[in-house]
Amino acid sequence: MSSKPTPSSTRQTNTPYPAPNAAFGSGKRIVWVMCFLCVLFAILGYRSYQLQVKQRESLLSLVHATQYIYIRQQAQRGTIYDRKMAPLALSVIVDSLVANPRLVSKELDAARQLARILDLSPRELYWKLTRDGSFVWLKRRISKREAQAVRQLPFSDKLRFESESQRVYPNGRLAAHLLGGVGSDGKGLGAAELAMEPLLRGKSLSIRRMRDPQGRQLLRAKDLELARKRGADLVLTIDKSIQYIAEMAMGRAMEKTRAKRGVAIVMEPNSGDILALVVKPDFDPNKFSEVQAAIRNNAALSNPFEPGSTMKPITMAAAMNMGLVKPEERIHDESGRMQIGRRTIRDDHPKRRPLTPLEIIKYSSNICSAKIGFRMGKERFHQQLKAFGFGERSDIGLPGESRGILSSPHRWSQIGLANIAFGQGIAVTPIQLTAAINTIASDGLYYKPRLFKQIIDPKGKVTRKFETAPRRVISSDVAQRIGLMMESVIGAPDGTGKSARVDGVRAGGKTGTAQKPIPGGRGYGKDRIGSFVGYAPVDQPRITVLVVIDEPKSPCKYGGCTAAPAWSEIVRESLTYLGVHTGEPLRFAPISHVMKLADADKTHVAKKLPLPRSAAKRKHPTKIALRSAKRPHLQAHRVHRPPAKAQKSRHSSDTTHPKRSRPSKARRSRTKPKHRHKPAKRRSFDTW
Amino acid sequence: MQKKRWFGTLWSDPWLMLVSIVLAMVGVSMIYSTTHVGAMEKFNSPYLYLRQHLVSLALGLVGLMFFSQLPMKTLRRFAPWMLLAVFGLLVLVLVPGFGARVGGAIRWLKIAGIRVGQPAELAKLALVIFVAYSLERKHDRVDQLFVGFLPNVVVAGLMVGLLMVQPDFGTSMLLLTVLMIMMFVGGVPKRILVGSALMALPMIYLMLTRKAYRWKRITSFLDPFAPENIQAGAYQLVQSLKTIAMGGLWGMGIGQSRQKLGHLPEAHTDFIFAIVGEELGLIGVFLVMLAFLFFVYRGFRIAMRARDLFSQYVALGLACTVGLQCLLNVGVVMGSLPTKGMPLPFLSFARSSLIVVLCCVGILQRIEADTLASEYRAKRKREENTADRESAARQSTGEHRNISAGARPVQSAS
Repeated sequence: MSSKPTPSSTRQTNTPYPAPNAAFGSGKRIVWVMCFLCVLFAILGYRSYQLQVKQRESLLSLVHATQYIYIRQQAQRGTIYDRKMAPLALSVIVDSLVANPRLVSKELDAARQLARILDLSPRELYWKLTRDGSFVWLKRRISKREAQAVRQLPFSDKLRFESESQRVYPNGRLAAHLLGGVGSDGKGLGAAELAMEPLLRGKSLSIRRMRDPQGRQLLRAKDLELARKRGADLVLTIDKSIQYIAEMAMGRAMEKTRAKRGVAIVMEPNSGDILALVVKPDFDPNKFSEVQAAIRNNAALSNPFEPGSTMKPITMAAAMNMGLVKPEERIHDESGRMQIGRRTIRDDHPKRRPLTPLEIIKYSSNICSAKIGFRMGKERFHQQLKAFGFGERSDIGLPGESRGILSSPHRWSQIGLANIAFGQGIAVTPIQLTAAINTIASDGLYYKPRLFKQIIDPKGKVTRKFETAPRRVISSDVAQRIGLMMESVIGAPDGTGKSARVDGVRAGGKTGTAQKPIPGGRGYGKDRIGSFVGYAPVDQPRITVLVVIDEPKSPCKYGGCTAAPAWSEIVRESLTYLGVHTGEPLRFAPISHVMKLADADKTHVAKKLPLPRSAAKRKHPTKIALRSAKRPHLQAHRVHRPPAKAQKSRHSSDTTHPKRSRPSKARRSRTKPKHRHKPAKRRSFDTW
Repeated sequence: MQKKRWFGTLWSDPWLMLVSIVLAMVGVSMIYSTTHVGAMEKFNSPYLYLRQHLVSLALGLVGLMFFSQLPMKTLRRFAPWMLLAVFGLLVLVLVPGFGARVGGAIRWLKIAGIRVGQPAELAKLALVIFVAYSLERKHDRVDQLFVGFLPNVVVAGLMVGLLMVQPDFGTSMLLLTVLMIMMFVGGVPKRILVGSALMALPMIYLMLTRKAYRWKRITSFLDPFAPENIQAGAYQLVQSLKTIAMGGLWGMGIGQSRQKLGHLPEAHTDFIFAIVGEELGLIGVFLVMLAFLFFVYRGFRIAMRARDLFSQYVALGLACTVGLQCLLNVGVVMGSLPTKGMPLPFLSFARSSLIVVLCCVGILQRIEADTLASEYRAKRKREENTADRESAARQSTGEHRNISAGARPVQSAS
């Protein structure tokens, strides 16, 4: 302050303070300090280079663990459609309520409010909200209304909605056994949902989302654009309407018969498509996880039963195909009793005379069937049964399918062979039986039952078609004949399946009534399985239908009383739906009339019947005449044949059953609408 | 004339002013970038922190102007009183009812329930000014242990003691380092400095080990990625390292930081430099660090040019304070130093610190203005001398009037 000796500074000062001294201004020390600071800055600069360039990768790997959350977003499960692309099962995106217990305060209050909205117990919610962790499902798949109410809560920002996909079966119980169901995690648990699980489920997407330390997702604009992936769509061969028809009919039948179980299968000839498959009792697939396993079980595939008489057309077809039974020959029914070894076979409707093959089926003669079985022998019969698809899975694609019980022929006893010929000692699944009868409807071609039609990938491209080539089992000729025999079962006044009659449609079928074996024991008990199988129209089959009524409690337990009415209903309604049958009665000779004529003669009726007038008058175009002379069985099945020609060639074969000459009603109405209002009787004789 | 001078004082070192403005602007943008999400979430107002920061920036500018106008003579006169006042404040913070506890430390002075500031920030300024005052007064006896060294150490020790009660380890270290540097430059013999440093080591060790959390910080600093440390003390450090690494060479882009979304605690205050690293990358880090280095350089230049010892020491002390605070903060953020609470000057959302740093800039500008003025005077004097000599020489010729009259306006214009 006071005057001090000025240090060796060149600068002059006129302040009252001391001038800069040597130690400071010109000294090296400040330079050292500057250098020291520079070095420190350089060290930190190198450090930042180290962090940001050299060690960046290893540090970033740590970042990913804390900065991102990986969400496994399940693809939206594919839709299941019926053959007309009506959805049977679809997935909708719904909200699930999630809470972060760490964020929620005043848990008790929150639990009470939430409980009121979500209809849950406050205690449970409180427990969830006080749990340790940052994620807890409060309620999965809540309704829109619930979500709305929750959003209005004061603490709604502590809650979060996760979009989840929910499986919805819009048709309720319809086709429940075919569709199956999904569990709470959206995984297919039964039937088609399980069988096609990987396809329907699709690829789940692992989404990387940024998160904050509390685990909350941080959505960026591009995150919202991310479309949810979709699984592939599955198209079933089912027709929703026919399925509905079958369900209704079966429902009524079950009510009437108070049966334990009922199965109905509707199959399309010439393709093997399952149009409907009903198992009663059914369930609501929307609540699949609550359903008992016994009810979930698809009896149509997994419960083999002894078919009983419904087997006889198969036996007959097999024998005729081998040429062991001639259409003209007769087989004596041994007056209703036949001794084989120590066992006796009985007929329910003994005629005590030789029966034509048609009559064997019509009267359902066990004895004649057994005799036919003997003619074939074990090996050949077994082979034929195999060809009809018995003893092996139909590969319909649903889980839990049984192959039935068809033991190898060298283990068959003589009585066993006889039994199998009329449907005992062999167990078949309903689907096998339907497919076998469908072979007759399909002109002797065996089509594997098909439930899955195609798969459509999320882009809308058909990626897979389920098609299998049919295999020839019996000749077309034999198939026609068996068809006529089955027609007589329904059409003839003394046929066993009269109650299956469908007005206006030529339907062929066969009843079956099998005794149920005592479970776990030997022999048969009192319970029966009534069944009815057949197809319609006979000349141009559109559907093959099987109805099985298991353990009916009604007084009449025969297939003719239990299954046949339901069968008739299904056929009538389905054909109406398909446009074949308009529900009006036939305008020409009723079946009963024809059959009376045929049976009165006890021989082949066709010979005795007068030629139709129109056919007699008309000149035959030679080509058609020749062909139909050679292959008379083709006539009734020629779908696209002009009706005039059909009529001309109709009676060129003497083996043809007279009934066949009637064209189906549908065809008639299509081709000759002007004749509609003519008197029925007159027209029919016109035709004849 | 008066107005012009005022403005000139503010810009006496334009480079210092420029780098200060740049750093402050970087700070403003980084604070907005870092806080708007959190502020939106917590207070439903994205500009909350930004607004507060801008208010303190404005206050700081007022302080800058004030100190740039305050003559160094006055500052020197009030140096002991300022020190006393700061001591008072430091004590007041510890008085229940006046100190606000934030994050385990009582650093905020609270008056009538409102947090007004951190006296520790003022302590830096006050101590630097006091030490400068002390060194200048005893400039010829600094090599004497009991004159040049001990009084300063005792004052600083008292202050550090008060700070450690808060506790504020970071500021204590900073103050001691600045003190050492000032005494080193001031000419205190090396043996005294080294000896005292050796004596201080056990003390520091004791301070570190006495508090468990502090020791944990040290251990976790040594190996931040050890699992037990990640869980415990090193979480912030690990997050900070990750944050910096995220930036890479070029950075994520301004506003693109992800770690600021809650991952990095104190992202907007002590760890804002990590966000700088993330958003601006290595380039940004280098530029910001160079800016600080440049600030220090300008400070040292001012110190070396200053015309009196007090100004020199003050300039040196303030430049060192800012520089070391930056180094300490960046060192912590980059995991080169143990974690401690220390805001980054200009950039951090630390309002007291920002105001004090701007005041420091004001003081530095004042010192430079004094230097410039004295240089100008000296120049004029020189010229007058030469002019006098010339006139004396010309007097013989009898022409001097004209020449000097013509020369003056030119000189004053330059």
